[in-house]
Amino acid sequence: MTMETHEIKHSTQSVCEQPSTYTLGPLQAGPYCCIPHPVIQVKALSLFYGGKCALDTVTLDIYRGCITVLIGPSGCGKTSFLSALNRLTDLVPSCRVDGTVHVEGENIFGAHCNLQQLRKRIGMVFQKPTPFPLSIQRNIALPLREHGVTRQADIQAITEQVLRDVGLWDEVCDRLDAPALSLSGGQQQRLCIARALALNPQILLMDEPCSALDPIASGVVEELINRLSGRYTIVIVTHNLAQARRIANYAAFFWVKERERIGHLVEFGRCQHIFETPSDPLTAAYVSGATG
Amino acid sequence: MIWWKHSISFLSASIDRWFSAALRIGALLAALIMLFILLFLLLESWPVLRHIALMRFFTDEAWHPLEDQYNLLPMVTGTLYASSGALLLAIPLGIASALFMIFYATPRTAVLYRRLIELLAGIPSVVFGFWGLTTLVPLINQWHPPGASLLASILILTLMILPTLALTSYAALVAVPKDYLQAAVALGLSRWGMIYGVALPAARKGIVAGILLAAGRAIGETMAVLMVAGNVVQHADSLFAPIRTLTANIALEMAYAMGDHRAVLFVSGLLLLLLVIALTIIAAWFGKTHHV
Amino acid sequence: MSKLFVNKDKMSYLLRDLTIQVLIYSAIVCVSGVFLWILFDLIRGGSALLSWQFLTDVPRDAGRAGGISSILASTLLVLLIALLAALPISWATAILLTEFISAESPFGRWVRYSLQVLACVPSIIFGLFGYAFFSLYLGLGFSILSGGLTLACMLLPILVSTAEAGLRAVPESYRLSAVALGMSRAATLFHVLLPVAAPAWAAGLLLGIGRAAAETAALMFTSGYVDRMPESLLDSGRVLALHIFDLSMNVPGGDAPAFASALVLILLLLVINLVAMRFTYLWQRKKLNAE
Repeated sequence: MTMETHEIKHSTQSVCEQPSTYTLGPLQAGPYCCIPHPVIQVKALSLFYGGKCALDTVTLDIYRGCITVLIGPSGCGKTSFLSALNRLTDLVPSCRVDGTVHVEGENIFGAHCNLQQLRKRIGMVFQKPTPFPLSIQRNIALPLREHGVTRQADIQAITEQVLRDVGLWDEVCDRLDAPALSLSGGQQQRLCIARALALNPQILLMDEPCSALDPIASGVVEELINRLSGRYTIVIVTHNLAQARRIANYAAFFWVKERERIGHLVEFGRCQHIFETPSDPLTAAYVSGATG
Repeated sequence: MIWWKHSISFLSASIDRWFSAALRIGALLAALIMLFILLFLLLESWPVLRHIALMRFFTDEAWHPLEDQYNLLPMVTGTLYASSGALLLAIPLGIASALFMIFYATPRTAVLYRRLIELLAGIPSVVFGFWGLTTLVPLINQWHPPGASLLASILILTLMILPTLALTSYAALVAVPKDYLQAAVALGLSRWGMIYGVALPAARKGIVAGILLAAGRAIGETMAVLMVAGNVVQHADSLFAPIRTLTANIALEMAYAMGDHRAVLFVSGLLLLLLVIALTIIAAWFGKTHHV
Repeated sequence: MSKLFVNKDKMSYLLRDLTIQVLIYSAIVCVSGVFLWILFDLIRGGSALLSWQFLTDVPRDAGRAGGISSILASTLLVLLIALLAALPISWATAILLTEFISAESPFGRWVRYSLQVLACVPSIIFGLFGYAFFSLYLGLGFSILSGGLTLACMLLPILVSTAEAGLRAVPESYRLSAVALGMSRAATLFHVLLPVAAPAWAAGLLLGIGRAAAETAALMFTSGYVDRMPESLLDSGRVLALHIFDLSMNVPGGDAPAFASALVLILLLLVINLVAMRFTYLWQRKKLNAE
């Protein structure tokens, strides 16, 4: 599988001219996949639910081919932030979004954004496994058909490919027609990842993909995420700091103000920086387990 | 790459638009029917409403439509007596049935009993009326002639609204989260303590909605009552006196009514409709206040 | 601390629970007893006359003799018309209300509220409306068409509310992940939501059919009393429920055929239910294992 080549609008500015609302960690040379080309540029993003601010002016860049983890206490707006990136916030009638999110240079909140294409490009995996109540095969075939892949041979090829990618093929190849809900939790979650991968996205959003799984299944999924990095840009929310440290290239630390219950971004930078030499005392306290 | 030979996303977006438009037309039709009903009842009763004072429907000497005497009051009281009597009997029985199915019966018995109730919910009103006519009325006649009476209509109405009450209460009680009940049991509450203290209050809204539904059904029921009530226009002075309800009056006289008489029947239909709408508004209001 | 919890009430609590249990059980026995009595009466009264000939013969002598074939034909036609008219409208409304517009929008509220009121309208009112609108205003007269359309109006609320409930019961996560996969709303609806909601829709359909087949008052002044075999949809046709009413109230000596007709009506409702249930089950299985 090859990456589609896209014109990346190189904007070094967005890396340099960070507003002073948070501290930017030093950008060292990373592995080759992590040359910081921003794929998603979030500028001054605020989220409101029925007039109440849930997330306050977040600005950060998501870099191509890297794993970016979002950490922070519950209710700090990580999940809301994540769902703003593929405009799932549209589904909440009372939700209003300020600011801009550019994916590959295109403002996704612009009037001409093709939502279905956007969501094809940005796959999403949820906290609880959400396979449709259909057969395993049909779970993958359905979105493919919807995006114009109609030849049965193509569908089968893609299905096998993505199931192999998530390491599920050997487990289910003899019962592709079994109901997806008959799989175990970990298998269901990997099926959901495979389903997202089948659309050949560039970016994967993962909302605590391991938190509803047992430790062993969680380990399998984590390893899978590691394998996928480089090929895909991954943004992942997790409460498991050890896991975050293991898999992340970049980390963003969110915090929620006690009284107003408004989430905001405290610090964003390379993983090492956030976990070992954080600039902000809040971050230091959180990653050392003193708060949160 | 076999992936994106063509994309149908734009096509499907426009399908969405057309689909939505078609749905709107359907919904508009559905909503307009209520207005149409009101409009046509008003239209048909207009000749009488124009030249007969409203109070005459309550102050005329009697119901002699052929002699321009239009006192609807005996019919109104007949309707009220019969339906409130039926509610008085059916509410405890219906709630007891629901409680039995959920908290007392073994699963097998509960299913059996529910099938029985569902079967009876499906029995047409005309069959209830027929049974009342051939079995109940002769029985009451032996006890206290004439048999066709307020009592007979109360009993038949009770049978008719009992399934509605039992099934709606059942649905409301089943919807009570199991956690509440578990918590109640964990606190050492007895079975009735749990039912009275936790289950019934949590399901109250649904049960009341069911009661209002049943009340509407009792007031509007025509055939069964028509067959067992005796249909004498009078204020009932005992349970054994024959009565005539508003609905039965329409069904009996519509076939031969002409001119003003016919319009008055439409007026009584309008009256019935307004009564029921008032009931609905109360129900909606109750639901709202309870919700807060 | 333990002084606060006195044990002397335990006996009275037990007694209270027991009393209530006895009350509930006796209520159940009463209800089941009466209902079984009704069923027994109907079966005993109806089975005497019920035969294949009764079903295939036309009624003679105002229904005292002969059978009910023309009555059955009218009933089925009226049902068919009612469902054909009501299903598209009500399912469209349910889909719109759950999937396409917010429940809080003015249009959504208005539709929902008017259906809520419509659900409570007594059937005799539908009869009056159908008579005034379909029979007189649209000039359909006493006809099967006019009766079927009147029934369709009556079925709308129940079909909408059951279909809506079925769709709302579908977990939100299905919608979220379908949207996250970039699927259109229509595709999500047809491939994911409807298969899940199908049993509820079928149940609603059953309720609708049951109510329509049982309906009498709404048809008295719309589809009429004529017991001939209907030749077109504009003919008047007497439905089964109305036949029972007419036999028992207006035809002296009509009790035996009335019993038999009542039994037929109940069996008909039962069969419709069973067939539809079976059908739903199969459909669901097929959908689950498709491809």
